[in-house]
Parts: sequence; C-alpha cells; structure tokens
Amino acid sequence: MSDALLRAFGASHGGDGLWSAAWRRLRGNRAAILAAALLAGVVVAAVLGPSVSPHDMESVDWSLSPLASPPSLANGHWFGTDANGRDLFVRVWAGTRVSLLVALLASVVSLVIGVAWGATAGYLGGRVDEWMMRLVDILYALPYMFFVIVLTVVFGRSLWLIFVAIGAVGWLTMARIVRGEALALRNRGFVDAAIALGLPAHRIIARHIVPNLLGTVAVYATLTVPQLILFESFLSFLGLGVQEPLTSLGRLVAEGALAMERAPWQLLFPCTVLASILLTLNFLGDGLRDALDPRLT
Amino acid sequence: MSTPLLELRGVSVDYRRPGFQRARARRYRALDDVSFGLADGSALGVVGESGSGKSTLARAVLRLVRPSTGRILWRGEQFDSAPRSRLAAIRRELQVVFQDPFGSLDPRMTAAQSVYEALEALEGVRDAAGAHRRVDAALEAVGLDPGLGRRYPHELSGGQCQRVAIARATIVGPRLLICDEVTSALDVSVQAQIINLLLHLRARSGMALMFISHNLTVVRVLCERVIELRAGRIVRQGGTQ
Amino acid sequence: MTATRDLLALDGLCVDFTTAHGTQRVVHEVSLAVAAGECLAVVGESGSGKSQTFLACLGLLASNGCAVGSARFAGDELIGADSEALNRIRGTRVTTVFQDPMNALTPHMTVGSQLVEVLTAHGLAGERDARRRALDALRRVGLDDPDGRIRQYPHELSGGQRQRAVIAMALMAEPALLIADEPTTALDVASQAQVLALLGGLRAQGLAIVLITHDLGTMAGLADRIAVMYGGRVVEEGPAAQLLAAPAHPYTEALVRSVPRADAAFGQPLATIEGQPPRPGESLSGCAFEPRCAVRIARCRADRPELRASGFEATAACHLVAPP
Repeated sequence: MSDALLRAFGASHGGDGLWSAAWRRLRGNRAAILAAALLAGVVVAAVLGPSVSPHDMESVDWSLSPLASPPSLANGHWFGTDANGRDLFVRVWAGTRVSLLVALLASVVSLVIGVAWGATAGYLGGRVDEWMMRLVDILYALPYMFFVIVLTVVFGRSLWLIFVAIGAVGWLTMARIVRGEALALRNRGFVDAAIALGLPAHRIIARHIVPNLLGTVAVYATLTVPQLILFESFLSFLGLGVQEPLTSLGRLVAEGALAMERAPWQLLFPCTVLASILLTLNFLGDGLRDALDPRLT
Repeated sequence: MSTPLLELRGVSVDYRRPGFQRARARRYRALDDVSFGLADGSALGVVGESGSGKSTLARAVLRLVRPSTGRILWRGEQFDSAPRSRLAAIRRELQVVFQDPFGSLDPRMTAAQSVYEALEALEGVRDAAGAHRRVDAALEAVGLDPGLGRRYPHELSGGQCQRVAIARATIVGPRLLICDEVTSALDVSVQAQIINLLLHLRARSGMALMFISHNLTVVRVLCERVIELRAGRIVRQGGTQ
Repeated sequence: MTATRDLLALDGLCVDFTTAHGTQRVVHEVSLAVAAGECLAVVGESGSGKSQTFLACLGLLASNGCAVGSARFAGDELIGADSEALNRIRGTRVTTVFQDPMNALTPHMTVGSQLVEVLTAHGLAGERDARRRALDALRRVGLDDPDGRIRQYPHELSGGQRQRAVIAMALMAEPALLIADEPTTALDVASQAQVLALLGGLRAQGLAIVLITHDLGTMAGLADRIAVMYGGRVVEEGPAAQLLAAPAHPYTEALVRSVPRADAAFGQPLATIEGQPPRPGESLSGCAFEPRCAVRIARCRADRPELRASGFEATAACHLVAPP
C-alpha cells in the first residue's frame, strides 16, 4: 500500500516517474525501436498469417509432385510445402505462435520466481542465503530430462506441462544472477539508510533492491526467451514437447534440417523467423538496459 | 546528571572475517569495551584514524550491527531488547546521515521521494497535501530549492545530495542525529556549508549531535566534547576547547 | 617564464565533451606552465575542469572527450599525438597519482609485481634490476619493511600505505614530472600529512609536481606556484606565497578565508562562499563567479574579464584588478 503512496508522491510532486523517463530514453534509441517494430511485425504475422493464406496447417496438397515443393506464388504455397505436402507458410506462423507463447509465459514465470528468490536470498544473506542457493544448486544438478519425462508420465503430454517444465528450470539462472546483484546492492548506503528508517526486510527488497536490479533483469530476460525457445524445441525434438498437429519453430527447424539438401526452403523460413526473433530481442534487451539505468545520460 | 539521551556501557563489536582461517583468527574486534554518555541537546565528536572503529560505533548504535557484549541505552532504556513498538518510537528520535552523498540515496528515487519515504516510514502519511508541504519545508530547511526535489541523485552535486540526506534524516525532528563522516567526501568549500547547516539546525531545534570525523578542526567547531578511538578503544575523552 | 625552461607548457588548451545534449566545453583556453623542479598547485572545486585539463594532456580523456590547443612536454606536442608517442612519455617521464589508490593498484597482483611491471613493460630494465629498484622506491616513499611489503597485496595495506605504494610506482621510471590528482583526499588527516611531506621531499630532490586539489589548506608549503580554476578557466595564477597572502581574485580570497583554521571556535559558523559553482559545460556570459561574488560590479555580468597582470609574475581575471 505504501509503495503506491510513494509512487503517487513521485508522480504528483513532479519529476518524471522513473518509467516515463525510461520510456522516453527507449524511444530515442533507434536500434531498439527498429527491433521492436520488427518483433511486432513478426507477432502480427504470427497472429494473422494463417488466416491470410488460402491453405491451412494440416491438409496435404496432393496436387503437388513431389509433395515437398518449393515456394511459389502461383499455387499459394508462399513458403513452399514440407515433406508431407503441408503448406509451410501457415505452419511457420502457427509454429511461431506456439514458440512465442511458450517462451513468453515461461519467461514471465521464471522471471517472477527467479527475481523474488534471488533478491531475497541476496538481501538476507547468511544462512538463509546459503540454504536458498543450495536448493538452486540441487535443482541445477537434477537430470533435467528425467524430471520432464516423469512429469509427462504423471500428467500426460500437454502444452501446459511444457510451460511448467520450462519455467521450472528457467528461473534458476535468473535467481543466481539476481542474487549476485542483490548481494552487491545490500552494501550500498541507501539500503543502510532504509534499515535505519525501520523499514521491514520485505519492503526494502521490493522498493530498493528489486528496482535497482531491473536493468540486469531486463537484459537477462531478453536472453532467456530465446534460450527457452531453443529448449522447447529440444523437448519437441525428443517427442516430449509440442505434439502433432501443433507445431513450433523448433520442430520446424528440426524437420527442415533433415531436408536441408533437397528442400532448403523448409529450413530457410523457420530459421529466418527464429533468427529475427533472437536478434530483435537482443537489441531490445540492450535498449531496455540503457533506458532503465538512470545514470546513462 | 539527568539520564543521558544515549549511553553505551562496555560495548564491544566483533566481526567475522571471511576466509578459511581458524575460527578464533577470523574474529576481529572492531570495538572494544566502549562506554560513554551523550546528554540531550549536546554535541559529541568521535575522532580517530580510518580503521579505528568510528563507523562501527555508529552502526552499533543504529542497530545495523549487533554488539557482542555490552549495552546500549536510549533514555535509560535498553535498546536491544526493546519491543517493536518502542523501536519505532526510538527511530523517530534517532537518525543518521552517512558519508557517501550519492550512495546514501536510492538512485531510482527522486530527492523528494527519498525525503518522503522517511516521513512515511517514521510517522505515517494520512494527508497527501500535508506531506507535500512538509517535504518542501524540509528541503528548504536544508537550503535547497524545493524544485530540486524532482531531480535524481545523479543530477545533483555532492553537497546537494548530502543536504537531501540531512533533510531526510531531520524531517521528523529527531533528538539525536548521527553524522558519519558526512563531509569527508565533499570539497572543502562545500564542507563549510554543510557544517554551517548543522550548526543552524542545532541552534533551531536543540537537536543533539554525534559527529564522526577524522578532521579535528571541523569537530572543534561543532562539538563541545570529543572522544578519540584507536583500534576500537577509547583513548581520550574530553572537551574540545 | 621562457619556453625553453618549461617542462610542461599548456597553451590555449580547451576540452570538449559530446553528450546527448550537444557539445559542451568544460575547459576554456587554459595556459599554464610548469618548470623543471617546480610544484604547481591547481586549485578548484569539483567541476572546475582542473582534472580534465591534465587528463587531456596525457591523452586520458573519456572517449567522448576531445582536446583542442597545445600542451607541450619538453617541447613535444602531446595533444593529438598518437598512442605510441604518448606511451613513451606516460608512466616513464610523466607519471600520475590519482585520488583512490585502490583504483590504481590491481587487486590480484602483489605490490612488488606491479612496481616491477612499470619497468619491464616499458623495456627499461630486466626483472632482477627492476626488483632492486622497486625496493629502493618503497624505501624512498617511507614504507616500513619494504621486503615484506613487496610481497603483500593491495588490500593488506592501509589507505595511506597504498597511496605511498602508488607514489612508489610513479617514481619507478625516474620521471621528470608527477601529476597528482587529489592524492590525499581519500585519506585520513594523519595519512594526509605524511603523504604531503613525502611529496615535499620529492620536490626537494628535483621532481616537478602538478598537484591538483580542492583544498587550499593542504598544499601550503608545498606549492611554488598556484593556479586557481573556476568554471573551466584559470582565474588567478601566481607565486604561492604571494597568492595566499594577498589574493587578487575575489574567488581566491573567498577560498583562502574558508580554510578552517586550527583555532576555530565552537559554535562559530565557518566562512563560506554562498551558492554553487557552475556545472561543467554550463555556458555563461560575463564572469562565471559573478553570482557568488561579494564585490561584483555591473560590468561583471555582461563582460568576461581576461587574465591580466596582478603582481610580480602573477595574473588574475577580474575587472577590479586594474590592467597595467
């Protein structure tokens, strides 16, 4: 409640709220804006793409011979077809949807858990920190695929399971990184000042530690998303992830790699989309970091 | 003599050095059997070279670090075992300003927000307009134009940041202000301004002062009494004149 | 001062920084000279440009900084010199000591190896010879137990000892000029006195020193000449004794008055200069000190005073100092 009071005070007492100042700085960063625009374009294409094409995701186009045919404007297969004669354009955008959704949701989960865990461990220090980070180390050491297989056996294969599995692992590195930063922040003067004001630990963590971490978190979060996309594709490749008829960028890339010599378009399009997402996220991450750090003028 | 405002009796503080030495070697005594009293409204200087334990003394009084032995009394009442509610009341009366002007303010909060946070944490805020007025008044009282409240610490000079820190510490009118090397990181010309500000605040409110510094000249201007620390022990106590 | 006598001669040196707000000039037309064996103290508040002036001479400006003008060391032009030429001079003939010794010393190398590295990296001596000279340097700066110190790491030394080690490092190559930027600011009073005494001793042995500081009180007795900078310009310059006894510029006079005196009385407010110095790069018309000046006249706001003679081998930039 008092955090809201503090923010309201900042806004009404003049001065840019921190977020509006950051937003202005981000707007001035041309590379980041370009990246954001491109990313937005990919997202729009993922949402609208399948409805624009005359084909759909599953039906086999028997009129083609061979079934895997190169891109052509004439027959409406703008990205060509895959080994089974299914339209690649629709599949690529449908796959992009799934990849983005999974990665985004899982990133959010790992961000929330990782930041809370790491900031608390780093700030409290001592034995609490030791125990909390030992748990992270143990989870890190877990044979991860075994864990996912067990989950699959118990809960059956579903998209939600993928979210949980990926999110459950994604938070570990975030927690470590955040904990390191929180440790450093704890020794800064303004934390001592907050303690001297009698603020309780949870308020100090929420109000002073976490906001000062956001630069690092932003950059790392944008690195996490591509990692999770790749991770999800690994799962899919092993048959534990997204199942037919759903597809993801990872699956498409795996399939395309097999057909690389005969039908390069099967690899080219999903790869290009994947690479674009990764590149734009990197630029956005840099831009976010610069915008959120008030000392860079 | 009436009950001193702040009293230390036989306080020692041990730090544990990180590393793989034997446990006994790891312990490092930063403060050794320190005892003194500070009367209401008076000013006490604490001097010593770096490493003598001056900052540890401030941290012990503020409960940022726990004394290994000894007692710290506030108005005759033991500080350590005070219940939560009593602690909050004590904090209203006992505040601190640290050495690093930029480091002691949250870089993500404006100057006014930092001062407001103190008001909210120590007294609670019910009336937004009243809070605005009090923050502005606190900034003016330390010689800052209230418009500067909008700025972030990196947009202010060292002296201005230190004034903000003083405003934050004094907005609720503490009875004792601890100043831990507050002028050491400032230019000499700015140091003089801050010293004069502290003199002015004391004259106006009768607030007591514990001024930690390695600069004897400055201590002489601000304080009637001084204690000197060396290797954690008091080696000299007396008047400054 | 003739040009041939000067070890370091700055002539019309300007430093510009390109920032998001455009190009800002933080040092304006600084002309100073240091003769061999002489100590020049450059005094000014934070933001006066005193550090940037000498960082520019050594090619140590940040990447968005640019120096214009001339700075000659023993006749060689430093501004715009390539890094090879600068590396021959930096660390060997001109060395530096900065404010925070922990920043100058690498935490993971012993003190000894850092001292030795100065000579071996420049190819000036072999390992054994360098080690012998390192011991000599540590003795010269007055560090006790040089054999032990040589093996210690920076964090095992106190602040004052570290600063002496940094000075020892600066002396390894027998430089002609030492530039010390706030060398005692981060130290407590006792260490300050020791380091200043050390610098005085070095000067007596013939080392030229540029001492950059905000504290007039610390370099009395050490400086031969004093240059006072304000708002990126030199506002007064002259022999130390003369300047301290009879300052010509109102800012210098205010600085001299504000030095805390040893016999300061309890409760007596200190003499201060009201107001704030201008922020670096702030451009003003007229005299930069005018808003805070106690003796300003109408002319000061519109018309910036040039440096003019104010005494024997002394200059000051103030309208109240009558031109010859």
